[in-house]
Amino acid sequence: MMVLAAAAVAFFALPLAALLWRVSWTQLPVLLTRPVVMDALALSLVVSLAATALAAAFGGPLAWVLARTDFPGKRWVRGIALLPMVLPPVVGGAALLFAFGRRGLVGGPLSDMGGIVLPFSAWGAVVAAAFVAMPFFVLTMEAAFAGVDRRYEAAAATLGAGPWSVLGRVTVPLTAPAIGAGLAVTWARAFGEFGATLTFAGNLPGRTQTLPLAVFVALESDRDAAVALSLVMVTVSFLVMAILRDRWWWPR
Amino acid sequence: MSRNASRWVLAAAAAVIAGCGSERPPNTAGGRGQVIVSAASSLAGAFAELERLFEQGWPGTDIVLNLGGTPSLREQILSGAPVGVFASADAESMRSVGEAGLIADRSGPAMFARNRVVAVTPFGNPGGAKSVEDFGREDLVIGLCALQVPCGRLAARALEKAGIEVAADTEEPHVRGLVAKLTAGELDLAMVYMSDLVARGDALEPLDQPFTGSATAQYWIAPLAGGEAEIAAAFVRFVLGAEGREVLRRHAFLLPADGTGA
Repeated sequence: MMVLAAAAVAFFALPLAALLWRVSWTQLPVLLTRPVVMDALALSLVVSLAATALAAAFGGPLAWVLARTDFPGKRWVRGIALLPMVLPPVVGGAALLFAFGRRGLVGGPLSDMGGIVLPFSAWGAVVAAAFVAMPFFVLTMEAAFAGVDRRYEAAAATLGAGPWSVLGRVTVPLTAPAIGAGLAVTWARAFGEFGATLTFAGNLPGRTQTLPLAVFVALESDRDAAVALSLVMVTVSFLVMAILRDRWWWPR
Repeated sequence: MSRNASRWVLAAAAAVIAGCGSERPPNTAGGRGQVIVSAASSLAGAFAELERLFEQGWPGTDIVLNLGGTPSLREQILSGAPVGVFASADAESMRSVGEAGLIADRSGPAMFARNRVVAVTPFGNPGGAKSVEDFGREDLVIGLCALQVPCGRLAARALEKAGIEVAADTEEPHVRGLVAKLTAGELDLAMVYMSDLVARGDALEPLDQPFTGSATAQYWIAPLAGGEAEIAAAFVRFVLGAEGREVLRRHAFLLPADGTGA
């Protein structure tokens, strides 16, 4: 058992170690202060946080409905909501294009009426990231809502709290650790999003070129820069996970 | 007895070595004849046909196409991917593979095709682009290949020469991604390869005032040290031969002997 566990750890740690081994440390400051890197990092942070906010705003209520109500076809709704987790992101991006593209199902009328065009815009990158990341929030929160001891909520209700008050003062505080964990994995997935973003939003430095796209493009021309960018991704992900974990994740 | 046996072994070895030099693979190859061919994304259509024809003519062989941007194919090869043939869309990538000592053939790589970049719109020209000047229009959705791949470099050079400040909306890492977005109608105007325009004549059209780059992409091919040497060499010869040239010509590639400039 220990041997297999050690193999698993090595399996995760080796590629990371290899990445560190490839970093040209002397050149790192020069590589990392290039405008294209700064742009990609800033854009990645904005896009991933916006996508996480979207996922929480819509995915939270969806998780609550899935956990607390019963309706015909609920299994189908859950299946559709979780589909992006198993769908190849490129396929997700193509599907988004068919839906929200200029000639898409919804995108056509949107661009005709409101002049709203998602592809090739930063909002497109946000939509792509939210599409692939939201299921992680729904999944985490559905389990959390289902796990709350309903007697607390019932007690609050008998003491005169309205449904919104129960939700805000009892249910949400009880699920706080899950919210933290859900936000963390959702953000991490959004931060690392590549395939759907490239397919749906394209690749333009400063507008839609997030860090993963910058890594991919740099890998084709400038391996040192690609490795440096990868190092930034690993570091930022690691920091955010660590901070979130200390704040909310671990129930104390 | 032992003397006889060793003579027999020598004879067998000689036969095997002689066999290696022959034109046709030994019939006993059965299943062992797999060769990975890493080819630039823009060669997709032509190489799919070349694969089919080669496998028909050489039963028992299996050509596995690995398509991608030339630089990422190069990186895979330099990192030790077991590739039998490299077909690059630029000379530089082939050179760095050669400098790493990975080319099997002593005669070195051969230039086998060229390709121009051309300004195209989706069929019907929904954005109403008329000339190369329209690459500067902010109201059109405009796509190019990324500068890191040959089609992006050629397009950027051609547009710069024409004095255009490009209002690009996306820089696609592969020409195939660019073509996909064009045919989906998400782009109004882009620079792709002539071979793409011909391959997707149903979905793409040139501008009313046609614009092509004067420089061409050069395609180089070489057998590498990482595969079934005999089949890899045979595939390269096939691409360079009459049948291969015919296929490439049909897919709108310029052949090395055609036209001017290189």
